[in-house]
Amino acid sequence: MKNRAILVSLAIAGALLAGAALWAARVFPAAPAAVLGAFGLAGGLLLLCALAELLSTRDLDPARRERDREDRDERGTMIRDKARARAGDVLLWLLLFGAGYLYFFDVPKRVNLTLLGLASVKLLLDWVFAAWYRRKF
Amino acid sequence: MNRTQKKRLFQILLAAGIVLLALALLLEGLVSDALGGMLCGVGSGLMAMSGSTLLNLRHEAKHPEMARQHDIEQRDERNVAIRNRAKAVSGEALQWSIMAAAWLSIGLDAPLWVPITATCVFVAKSVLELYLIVRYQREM
Repeated sequence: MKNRAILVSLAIAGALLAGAALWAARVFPAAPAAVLGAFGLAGGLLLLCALAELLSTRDLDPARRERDREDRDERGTMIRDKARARAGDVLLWLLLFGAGYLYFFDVPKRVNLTLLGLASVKLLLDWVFAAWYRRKF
Repeated sequence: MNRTQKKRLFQILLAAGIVLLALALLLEGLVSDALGGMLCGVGSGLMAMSGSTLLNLRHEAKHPEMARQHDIEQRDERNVAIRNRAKAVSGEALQWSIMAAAWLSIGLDAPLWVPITATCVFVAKSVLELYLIVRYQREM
């Protein structure tokens, strides 16, 4: 029930965001189209994803429910966490090498600093979450 | 990798860091600022990382009980699960931060390749995650 309420709120928020972007595009024609387009797209995606979850027939299929249960058990959770951790490590190294590679090209310095900043935040979050989970479990 | 091999590797990396830093100082003015900066940065990074690891290894050699305890803790199932969960969550946060940076770059009139690259990185990470899930389900 709580999930349903959250999903309905997200669908309404998405619809309002998309509607606001369309309204702003009409009322403020001089506004940058890219910004309004980004907000409109975000609102549309939020609305569609929330509707997809609300109208899903996943829980009606017993085989699907069984598969979901297997995915959420201890082994499934461990596998998913390991896969996400390795993929996150690859992403981290991609950011670091990307920052190094772009250093030699004529890109604004803020791009490099953004990439390095994101990598540093990721490492800090690794440490923070590890400490938090160690206390929790 | 045992302790001796690790010690040898980091001694080599320390030497490489010193060489790169020395090159950065000697070649100042002869190479571009970008290359000099890169040599300096990589050299300093290698020196710092290798230096701290070698000091750690030396401390562990003097206190073998502590080293054994540290090894056990590193390989303990609970600690491995905790580290993986922490990295998974922070990796997810990083992935969505990259998307947020892509949205921001659209509003800041950045070149088109910036949001496109960020989106491709986002999708590639998701695909890699799915591939690894399937692979680990077979292996484990």
